[in-house]
Amino acid sequence: MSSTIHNISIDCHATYALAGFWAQVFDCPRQPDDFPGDPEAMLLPPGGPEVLFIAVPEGKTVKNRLHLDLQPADRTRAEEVERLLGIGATLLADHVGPTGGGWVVLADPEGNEFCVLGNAAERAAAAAARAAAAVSEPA
Amino acid sequence: MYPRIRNISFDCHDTYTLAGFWSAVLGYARLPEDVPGDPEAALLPPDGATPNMFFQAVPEDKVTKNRVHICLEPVDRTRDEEVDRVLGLGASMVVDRRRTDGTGWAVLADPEGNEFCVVRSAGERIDTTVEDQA
Repeated sequence: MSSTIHNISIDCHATYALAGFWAQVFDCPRQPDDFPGDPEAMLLPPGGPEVLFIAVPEGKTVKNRLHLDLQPADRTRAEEVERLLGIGATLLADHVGPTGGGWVVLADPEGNEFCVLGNAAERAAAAAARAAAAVSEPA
Repeated sequence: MYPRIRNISFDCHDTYTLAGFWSAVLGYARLPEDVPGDPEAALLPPDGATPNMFFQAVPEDKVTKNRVHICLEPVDRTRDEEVDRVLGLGASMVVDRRRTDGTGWAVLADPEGNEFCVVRSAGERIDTTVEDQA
C-alpha cells in the first residue's frame, strides 16, 4: 500500500455557494458545520473521495490543469448535462461524436471546468460502434 | 443515482512519465496499452471504486498554482515517511506546513509541477476538525 486520495481540493471564492452547487451535482448533503463565509466547506459524495472547497483571494485566470470527469448513473449524458445546466453550470464545449462517444465540457459557477461522460450503456454502445466501424473498413 | 467521479484528469506534457510517477505514488498499475508518446494515459485503482487517474497531453505549460489539487493520506506509513517516499519518486517540496506538534501537511509537486498535499495518516489524526484533518 502507499497513499489513498483523501480528498480533492478546489480553490474558490465562495466556499458555501460552490459547495451548494456541487452538493446538487452529487446529491449529497452539506456538512452541518459549513456556513456562508466559511473559509472551508466539505462534501462527502457517495463513493468518495471528499471534496474540499478552500477560500483563496486570487481569481481563476487560466483553464484548470486538473479537472473531474463525471459519469452519470441512471441518466444519459444529455439528460445529466441538461440537469447540470439547470442548477448553474455553463456549457463550454460539446465533444460528443457521431457514434455517441465523447463528452461535454461544463464549468461550475466559479468557472472550474469539468466533463460529463456517457453513462455505462452509452460508453459500451460507442465502443461497439467504433469496433464495428473498424471491422467494416477495407484492409 | 447521481453521477460519480470517474476520473481525476491531469493536463500535462508527458503522459507516460507522469502516469508512471502517480502509479508509484498511489500503487495503481499502468494500463498495458499505454506507451511513451501516447496522447493519453490512465491508471485504474485496484478497488475499482475510487476515481481513475487520467492524463492527457496538452501543448500549453502550467503557468500558475493549480486551482484543483488532491490530498493524499498515507495508508501504512506515517505522513513523514510518505513525504520522504514521494520525494524519492521525483516529487519536489513546495511548502512544508508540518508543525512541530505533529499536525499539518506538506505541499509537494509532481514532476510537471502539479501541487498535491500529503496529510497525516488516519492513525496520526486525533482531532476530527476539518483543519486538523488537513
